[in-house]
Amino acid sequence: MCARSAFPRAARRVFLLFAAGVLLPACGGGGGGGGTADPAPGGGGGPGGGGNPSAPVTISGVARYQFPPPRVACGGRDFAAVELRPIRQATVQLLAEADDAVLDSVVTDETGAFAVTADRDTRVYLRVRAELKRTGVPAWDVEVRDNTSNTTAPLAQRPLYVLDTEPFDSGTSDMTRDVTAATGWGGTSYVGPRAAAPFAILDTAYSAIRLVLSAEPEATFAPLDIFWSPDNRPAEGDVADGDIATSHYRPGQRQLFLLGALDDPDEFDEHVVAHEWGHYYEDTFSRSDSIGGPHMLGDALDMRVAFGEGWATALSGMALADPLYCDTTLTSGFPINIEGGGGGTPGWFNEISVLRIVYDLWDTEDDGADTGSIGFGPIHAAMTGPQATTPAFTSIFSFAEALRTIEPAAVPLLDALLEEADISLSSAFGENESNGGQRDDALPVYTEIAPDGTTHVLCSSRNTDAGGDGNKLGAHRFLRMSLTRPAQLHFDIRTRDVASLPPDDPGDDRDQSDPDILILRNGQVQNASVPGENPQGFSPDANQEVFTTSNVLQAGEYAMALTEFRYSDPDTHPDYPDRTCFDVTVTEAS
Amino acid sequence: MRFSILPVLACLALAGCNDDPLATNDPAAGSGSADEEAAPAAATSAGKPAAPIAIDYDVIGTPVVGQPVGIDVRVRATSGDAPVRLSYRVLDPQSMTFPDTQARELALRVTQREPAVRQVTVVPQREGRLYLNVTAEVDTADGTLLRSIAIPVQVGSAGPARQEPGGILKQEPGGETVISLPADEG
Repeated sequence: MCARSAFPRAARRVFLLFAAGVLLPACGGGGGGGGTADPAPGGGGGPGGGGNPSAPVTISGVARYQFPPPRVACGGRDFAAVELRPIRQATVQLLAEADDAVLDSVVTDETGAFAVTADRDTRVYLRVRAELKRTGVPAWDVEVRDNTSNTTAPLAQRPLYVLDTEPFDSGTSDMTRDVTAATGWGGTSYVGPRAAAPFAILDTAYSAIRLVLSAEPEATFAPLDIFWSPDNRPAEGDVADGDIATSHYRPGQRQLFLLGALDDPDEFDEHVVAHEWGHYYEDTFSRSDSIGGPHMLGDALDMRVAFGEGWATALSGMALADPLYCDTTLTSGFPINIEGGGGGTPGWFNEISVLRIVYDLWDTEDDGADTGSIGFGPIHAAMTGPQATTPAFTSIFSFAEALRTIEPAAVPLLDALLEEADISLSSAFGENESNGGQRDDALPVYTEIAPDGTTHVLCSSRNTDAGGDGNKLGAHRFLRMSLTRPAQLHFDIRTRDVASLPPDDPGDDRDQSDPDILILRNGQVQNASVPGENPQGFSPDANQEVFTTSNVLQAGEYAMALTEFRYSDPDTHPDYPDRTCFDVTVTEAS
Repeated sequence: MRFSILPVLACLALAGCNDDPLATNDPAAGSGSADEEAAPAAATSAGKPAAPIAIDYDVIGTPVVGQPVGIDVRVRATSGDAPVRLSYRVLDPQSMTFPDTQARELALRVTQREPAVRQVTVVPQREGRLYLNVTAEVDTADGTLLRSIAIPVQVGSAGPARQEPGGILKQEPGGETVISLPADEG
């Protein structure tokens, strides 16, 4: 067994659910209802107070949230300069005070305006739901929930944030009632409910949706749950306790978690929210082969991570039309200048190089090699088209090839930006790349192999990754293979120079090598699962990975990632060498 | 036991995506655990960009109310050597205190290979899951970059105290639960 750090599971807290109000059958049932892209404010109903004493009245207004902008150079939040922003495309309901029944439901327009209708002389209240719901074409479904309340329920059923007015009498004539979600800030600290937070998050999500709609007006967005809580803190543990480690997105589950605790709240950090939404975009519209893991600005990263992170930050700049990525605490923070930020050695392994290329393709501000703009359309087409099905791993190379295919007119600008970032002009497989980032075992980007029994020597390096992240440049080596006919393959991967490893303690496998290999075909994992064991290619066997695929691999192009697991293991023996080499031999099984 | 914010993320990330139980040597990962929150196989992205600083820690011994507990904090640069400003805070002053002799801020010089290790002492004031906040700041050409973590100090078996969100947890007629926040009207 390979050692892993063990993390105690925090005890869950169960909160009593207090049912407020009388539970009666709903009339209209609490649904958000589908909206329209350009809703006419109001849900119908004629003017009240006229000659018809039974005519309903119209209650109209504007829903807004308070937004404290970042201080200069992202040095914290300026609550003294709070802005009022519209809550766009959110569901507004009119509810009966007596039984909380939904009497009317509409969607705010782009200015936050809404209008609902009510019977005369009825006790009602208004509710703005922290959700974006739209059915039809286009369609979306975003909800902002509290992961730390009602924790016995599945995450998708945790409480939705809503903004409620005080009950009032609908009266006999039309009326205006504006509603605002306030920050809760009292001058030096929070003194009231942080009502603005979920709506600020929602609005950033809507900005990102609009970016996609600019390229694909009929887009259908997969459902997304966003989880925020004042208790979401940068601690490891159980998300029910708020221990979410950091703001992050969970691919496949379509769940986005955001920090809310006072050490580093992210609800007003629009770029942080949009960055994580960028990962949702990859997950649902495109594809990402990123292995994740910690990434610090300037790191020489695994190319899959570099592209995913660079893409996400670039998307934040495009969605917000603002190249100054700002991540603030209440009193401080830091910027990333998407247009001109430096950091680390430029190249295909640097997320800053990636984000600059993608953003410069989109923006209309000329700087350096950026002398044009292709807009988001071709970028979206590349991401949802060839990038999603590339036979290579997702990287700046595959993105560039996808864009060349989709938009030949973009090639001069693309190539200029690539050259400026010291990235070769090549195919999705990065041929001819000569920039190794001054790291061991970065080049070639891919080693071409064939199932012909030839033994290739490939090395994996820790390089500067002292923390056991396993996601830095050189830790994974990439291979490509073209299979001309369906076959089962025999992989024989053996660690070289085992004598250089620490003495073998039979009770502790962290002193021995553990090669692993991932096999993809057009983004689909080909490693066969083994009941009760790790998938093929990921055994914990010491100093070797030898297996015959139990599945038949179809003819086609394959991409593989070979790594020394010890470089992903934070508990690796301290004397484990920084570089491990392997003999790799692939043959067709007889 | 040693804890680190970084391995958690790496572990989660290496677990692959939901439909991809690969990239892990942990058989438990991707096994379809019914507990969506406890399973390390829960896929995650890499998280937001952060300062080139890694922080990990050891809580020494078993924390007890009223007794000083030491925490070894290790700070390492992930991209070159750098001067780092380290600060300690407890957001809930009712949960833990610092001894008078405990510095709240200090300057360090850290490298990639040799983490700077400093011990910080706190005194738990009640049982529960308490948190020491550690922030590291490093100056770069692009400005001051930050990295913040919250170190859990588990005293007894109780969970964390909740921040009061100011909203009211309500169950709606259809069974849906909501957090009702008060609107400002005007």
